[in-house]
Amino acid sequence: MRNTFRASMALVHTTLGLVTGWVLFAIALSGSLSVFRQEISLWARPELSVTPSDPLLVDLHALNWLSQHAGHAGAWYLTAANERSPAATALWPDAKGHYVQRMLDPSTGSPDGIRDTLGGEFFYRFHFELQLPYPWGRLLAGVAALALLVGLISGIIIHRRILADFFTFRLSRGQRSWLDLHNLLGVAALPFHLIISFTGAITLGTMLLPWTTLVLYPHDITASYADLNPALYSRPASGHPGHLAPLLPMLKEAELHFRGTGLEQIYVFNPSDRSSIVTVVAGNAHTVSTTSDVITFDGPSGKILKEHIERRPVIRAYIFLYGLHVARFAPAMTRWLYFLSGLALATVIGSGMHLWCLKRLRRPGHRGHRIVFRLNVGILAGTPLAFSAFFIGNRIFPATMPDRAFYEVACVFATWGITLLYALLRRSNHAWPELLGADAVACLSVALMGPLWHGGYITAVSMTALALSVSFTLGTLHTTRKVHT
Amino acid sequence: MTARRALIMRLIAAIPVGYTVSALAGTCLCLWLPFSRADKAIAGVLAGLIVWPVIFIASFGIRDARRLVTLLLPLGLLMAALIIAGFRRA
Repeated sequence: MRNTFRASMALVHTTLGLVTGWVLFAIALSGSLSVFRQEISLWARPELSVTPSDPLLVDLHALNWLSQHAGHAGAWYLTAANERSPAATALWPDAKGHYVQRMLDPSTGSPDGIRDTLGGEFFYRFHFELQLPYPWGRLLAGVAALALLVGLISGIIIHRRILADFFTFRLSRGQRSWLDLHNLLGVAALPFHLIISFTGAITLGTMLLPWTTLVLYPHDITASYADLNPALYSRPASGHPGHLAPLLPMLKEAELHFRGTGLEQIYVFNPSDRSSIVTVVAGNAHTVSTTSDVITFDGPSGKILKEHIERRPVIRAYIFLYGLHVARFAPAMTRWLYFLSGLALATVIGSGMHLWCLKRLRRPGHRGHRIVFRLNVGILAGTPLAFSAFFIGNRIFPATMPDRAFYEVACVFATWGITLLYALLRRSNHAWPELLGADAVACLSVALMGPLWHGGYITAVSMTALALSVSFTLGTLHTTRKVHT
Repeated sequence: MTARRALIMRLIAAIPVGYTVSALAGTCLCLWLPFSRADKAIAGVLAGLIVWPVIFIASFGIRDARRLVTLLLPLGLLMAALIIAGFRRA
């Protein structure tokens, strides 16, 4: 009986892995990069002066610039400057209603002279939206997260010797080595993998299961957002022109209320209307949870309209789990653990997919298996190549090129498409070393284009690219040997 | 019962039925918990996210696929009854 149970769990593990593996691989890899999204955003803008200054003043310069250049926009969404990110990033609708996202110069508040790029935001958005229209990308990512959770649980069940396999790695034994790698990394970072898949599903939970919200807020679904955080308050424009009160005192008052957590976000709604409001969200210096403390000011008077400190038990659990996933709280060391565990997850998924292919290719002649195997090479080796293309595009396109942020993203998908096509047409034992070699060269280019010796975050990101380039080179050498033997 | 039919039953139990039961479980919970409205809505979501993977695993883990019907059908009906009662109460 135990055996049939294991066998059916093995079926679940394998089938679910096959169906969702490619999407999950891309999600895991982009998620790992999102851990360093602010650092990547700084890498992507080498012209930015990053002399550290008071974050409040940086935010104030940004808001002043917005009031002069986007005064009639319906809203400004500002991601505040902090210790990790010396510049603020603003999102606002332009005159035609298209949303513009730009990083603003810390001393002038202006986006002029800073290249138009999504930076780390690209990987962050891709991680849960997959570049698909709303809500499909998010739903797919949510289902993939749950599939990963089930895949992990069924993986634990079929795995007989958790502890023994933790110390087992038989190198250069073909399929056996791949299984050892799959097990070793799967077991080593298992707590992280379980938590990240479940909390990932939680971040998209209200989309996957909207029923409770529909039942409890039958007449007005937007009331549920207001209820989730009552101080994230909005009110319609009055139609009468008005002026914002000085913003610095509001930011200082918010900072005082937050007791040293810093500011995470500043939203200004209808800035040139008499009913303008300013909302400030607390940072994560002392808490894992997101949006635990929010204050909204009346724009023209600067007086507090609403303040909300989260005390409701379930919501606190929710924002804690949410915070565990997005890791805004994480100090540098924790961030590296998230990054490495994320790469380990991508490796577990990739090696699992590869194992599936190896097992089936021993019985030759099945066309479907061969196509899956080739596409698998394309996805596993092509995704890092496509992501590297983003970084390379960032340095190659002229800083003043129109729509350059769009073309950077286009680079990713063009590279992905070409790589998949190449992998589909090429014999896989040749495609492996060739594509891994391309990954190594691409990562080396990213490191050199930084440039590596620039200093600060640019050196840090470039060094990481260099380390990845070295591991891709090892992979290339390993697979080249196989071609010749 | 053929293996193919058993597999189809398991798939139906795991995916559409599993999702429905988890949605029902969440809705049931949000109608009966004594918390604030926002708390209840989120508690239902969290519960649903736990229930679906559990039913998914159980759908393939249970030895006799026919037992899934005798297990999930009463469960679904019980929750539906609790939801109707919850609406009546509100």
